[in-house]
Amino acid sequence: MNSLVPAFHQFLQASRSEHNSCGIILAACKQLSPTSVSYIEEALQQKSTGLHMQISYDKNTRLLAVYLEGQNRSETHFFSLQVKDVLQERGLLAGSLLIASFSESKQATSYVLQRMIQEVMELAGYGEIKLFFHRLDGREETAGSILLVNHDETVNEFLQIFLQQKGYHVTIAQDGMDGVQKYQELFPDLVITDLNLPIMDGYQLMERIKQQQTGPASKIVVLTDKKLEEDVKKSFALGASDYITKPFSPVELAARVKRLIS
Amino acid sequence: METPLTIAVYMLYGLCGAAVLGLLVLFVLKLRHLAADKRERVCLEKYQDYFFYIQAYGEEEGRLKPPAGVLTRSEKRIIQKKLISLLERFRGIHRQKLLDLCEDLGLVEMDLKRLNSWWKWSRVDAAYNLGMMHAEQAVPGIIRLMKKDDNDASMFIFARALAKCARQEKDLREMVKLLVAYRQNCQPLIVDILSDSQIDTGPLFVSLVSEEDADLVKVGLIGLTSHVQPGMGSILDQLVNSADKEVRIKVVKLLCRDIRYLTKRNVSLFLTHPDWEISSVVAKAIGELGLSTYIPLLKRAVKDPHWWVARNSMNSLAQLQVDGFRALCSILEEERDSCIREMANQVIQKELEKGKFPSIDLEQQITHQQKLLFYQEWSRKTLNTAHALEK
Repeated sequence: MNSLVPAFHQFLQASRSEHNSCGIILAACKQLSPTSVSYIEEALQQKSTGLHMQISYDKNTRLLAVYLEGQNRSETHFFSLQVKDVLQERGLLAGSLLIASFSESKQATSYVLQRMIQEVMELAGYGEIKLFFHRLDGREETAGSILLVNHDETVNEFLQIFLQQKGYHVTIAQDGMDGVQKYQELFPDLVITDLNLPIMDGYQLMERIKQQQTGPASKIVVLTDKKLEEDVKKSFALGASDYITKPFSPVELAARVKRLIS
Repeated sequence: METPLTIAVYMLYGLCGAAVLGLLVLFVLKLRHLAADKRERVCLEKYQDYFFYIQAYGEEEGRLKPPAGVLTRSEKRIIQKKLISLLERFRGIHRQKLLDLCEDLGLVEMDLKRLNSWWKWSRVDAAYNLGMMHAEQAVPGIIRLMKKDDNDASMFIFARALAKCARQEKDLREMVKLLVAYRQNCQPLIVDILSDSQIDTGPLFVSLVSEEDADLVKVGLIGLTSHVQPGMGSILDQLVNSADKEVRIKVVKLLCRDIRYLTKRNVSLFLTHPDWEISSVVAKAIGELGLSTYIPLLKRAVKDPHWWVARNSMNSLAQLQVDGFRALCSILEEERDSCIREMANQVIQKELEKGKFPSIDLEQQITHQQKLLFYQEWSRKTLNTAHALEK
């Protein structure tokens, strides 16, 4: 068994309560000497005043694990930025980082930890911080697939992060033509499209989607800055299920997406 | 002694020198621009993970944390640019979290200092940023700039920033007064600027309507078209008789949005009003609101000497179901003025042509069929009468 798992159980025993939340950060490192591990620990202790944490390193897998007590996902994520900085400063990072948090530390079982270890070792790339999602019921499937057709990079970047956090599989298309091609490849559960798109506008995209639907219909949500009644009317006539104008509330969008996909 | 040729040569040298200097300045500017671009790219890359963090946890409890370590001024500016691009697109809790983060990062404080800069465009840029960050602390500074700065288009940038920062009605009122004093005939723009405010601007518009300055009254009236307020009847009734024609027209436009104000007394008064614009507005509103009871008044208004009043009255008659359409057809029989008959015929034909396009609304289709049927019967009867008269 990987030495990180018993180290984690030791950490849990030392923790004040199993009902506390906890965070785990796994980082793929180079071969670390005990001095390097102590340096990392010292550097992280300095950055995290008042935080109960434990560090362990497995020589075989070259994985460094940081266990954090009482930290939710956002706090764990924020701390992982500092872990990455410390490792990069000394040139000790060899791959990516994987983070997870558990609302109750007893949810972090050996099985979940083993899966995390497996996942971080399979991760390609360098210095990327990935989020580990686990479901209590053990199911692995995503909440649904979404095709996002938008020319606005800021909105694309945000919605990809935001909707992936909610468990959706998100694919991005930059223009109408790309949107049609990706739609034909994926047949997603939901399409979120703007009306102002290069090459082929949102209306044309909706028409093409309508023509290509053979099986169960994909739902369409229009996310645009066009506020005229005419645009709303035309979008619904072309098969849109919802119409949201910018600036928009991501919480509201997520609620509408959930309703449409479920 | 210098000959004209020597002077010309010196001039040429001078011009060449100036050109080289200009090119050097352009080259330096280009280099600076490239360096700034590179700095921005490097900084965005450095904080890529941090930007992921702020976008991923916008709806969790607690504030988003500023990045670890000390940020340079240039890094702050680049992070601010990214945050503002997000703020422009979102509302709700995500926006609030980003606003709190701007404050925690010291961005508000940084731009508050820039409001006092010697450079005008630094002040304008700082006001814009503070507006985007909804910084309440910036209100006195922006008002001071609006009062002090040269009167140019930057006034509107300051005003929009102020509308976003203000939390009290009195600040918005002061801004409106400064803008009205700065430029006339920009009331729709002022209302648009006020729509960016976080506070309810309805009470402000109501109070502006009671002002003596006609420009302020116009701002109030335009604002009220999208902020319906109860109990405005008596104030608006008084303004119908305002000395300012534009105010009179705007009041009637506002009254025409609410069916309660369109009493028989008001409608007959407005349809015969000396301002043709008022008669025209009311004639149009009757059709849009479907007020069939005023068909007789519209029938009278089609004889109005002003083209728009007559045309809008006829269009409204065509809109008022079969009864209105019947009244419109009767004009062809009863009216002696050939111009009016010609106009009525045009409106009838236009109305009948609408049926050629497939309508989604079933009710509209039925109404159209009823109008068509009536028209066919009516024209047959008219033709028979004409034949009988000929015999």
